[in-house]
Amino acid sequence: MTIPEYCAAVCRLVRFIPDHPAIVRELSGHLEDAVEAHQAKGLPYDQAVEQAVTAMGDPAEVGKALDALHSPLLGWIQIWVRRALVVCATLMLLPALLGLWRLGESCFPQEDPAQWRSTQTGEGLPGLPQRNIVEHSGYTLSLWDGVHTTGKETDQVSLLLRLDHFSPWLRRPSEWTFQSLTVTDDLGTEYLNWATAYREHQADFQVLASSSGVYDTFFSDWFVLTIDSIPPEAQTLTIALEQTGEPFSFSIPLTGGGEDE
Amino acid sequence: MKSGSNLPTGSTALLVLSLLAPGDKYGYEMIAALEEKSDHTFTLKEGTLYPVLHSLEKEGAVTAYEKEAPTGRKRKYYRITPRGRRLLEEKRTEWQSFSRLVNAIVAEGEGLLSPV
Repeated sequence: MTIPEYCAAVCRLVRFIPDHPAIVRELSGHLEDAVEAHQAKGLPYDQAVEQAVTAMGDPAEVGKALDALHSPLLGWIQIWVRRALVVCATLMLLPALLGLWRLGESCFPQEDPAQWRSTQTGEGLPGLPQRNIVEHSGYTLSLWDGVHTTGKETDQVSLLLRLDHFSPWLRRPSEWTFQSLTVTDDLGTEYLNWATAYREHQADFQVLASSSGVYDTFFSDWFVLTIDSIPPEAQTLTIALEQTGEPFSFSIPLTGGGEDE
Repeated sequence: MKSGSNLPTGSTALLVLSLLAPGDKYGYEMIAALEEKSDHTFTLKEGTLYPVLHSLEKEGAVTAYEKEAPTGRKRKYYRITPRGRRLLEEKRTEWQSFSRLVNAIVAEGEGLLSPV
């Protein structure tokens, strides 16, 4: 019987196949050591192999004993538990890895708000960008840029908003996210959102990310909020968003908003 | 290994743990050490060493790791754990009381055999 034949005879009786390679490695290593020892005493290779294999004893006896120790049921349970743990750990680590991506993204921003500004004709609003104006339910809102266009009778303000949503479990926001948004000015004029935009004063949303890939990133969506028909006398716009029952608001000063200025 | 006396049942684990107590060893090294220390007296079918080692590993009495020999061959080394040392102590005590009893009985028999 050769060394591979002996190992095969042992493994034939071990039902848990995933352990076969380790058993073969160990037994063949032992046999090769024994063969070398016999050869060192002057035995030719064939006889050395024969003696080494004989010294190992009945392969069936060894195989049965190893089979009792390498239980297929427990072995497979261990393998599946290990796999399940790896999957769970990966799922738990994923948000952390995505967080690192976010960090990298914030260090090296890909978006170019200046490009948006170049497409606008109005005058830039002061004090922008205002980052992280609102942090709520995993979303972070930033007011990135804004322009104020003075018309003949009324003015228009366009705001570039960035909504970050870093958790992969959060829904990607859409224009519907801003359904409950209201805009008012310091004169008490209320600008309604696009869903009820049949009024005199309107606030209209454009989802920029869907029309321009330049601004789109995995964790951020860009929106343009356009507020029309603003009386030239208005000095401040206040934007309020009632989302998940917790309202928040922020004010934007308008420069050149009135003919008096 | 030379043929000689069979090892008493259950004593292999004690011998294996005793061989591992001074330091890590691989299977063939243990067989060679056993042969040398017993002055070629014990007969152990070498293959039966591995079920004993795997059983001790399962119990947590030994741990195993692979290391490459200078020849390039990978060998599986076994190391006794603190649990294994406690088990060795228990088995050693059992063996000593067992051998004391056997010696006492043998000594009694010797007395009966003495010439009148």
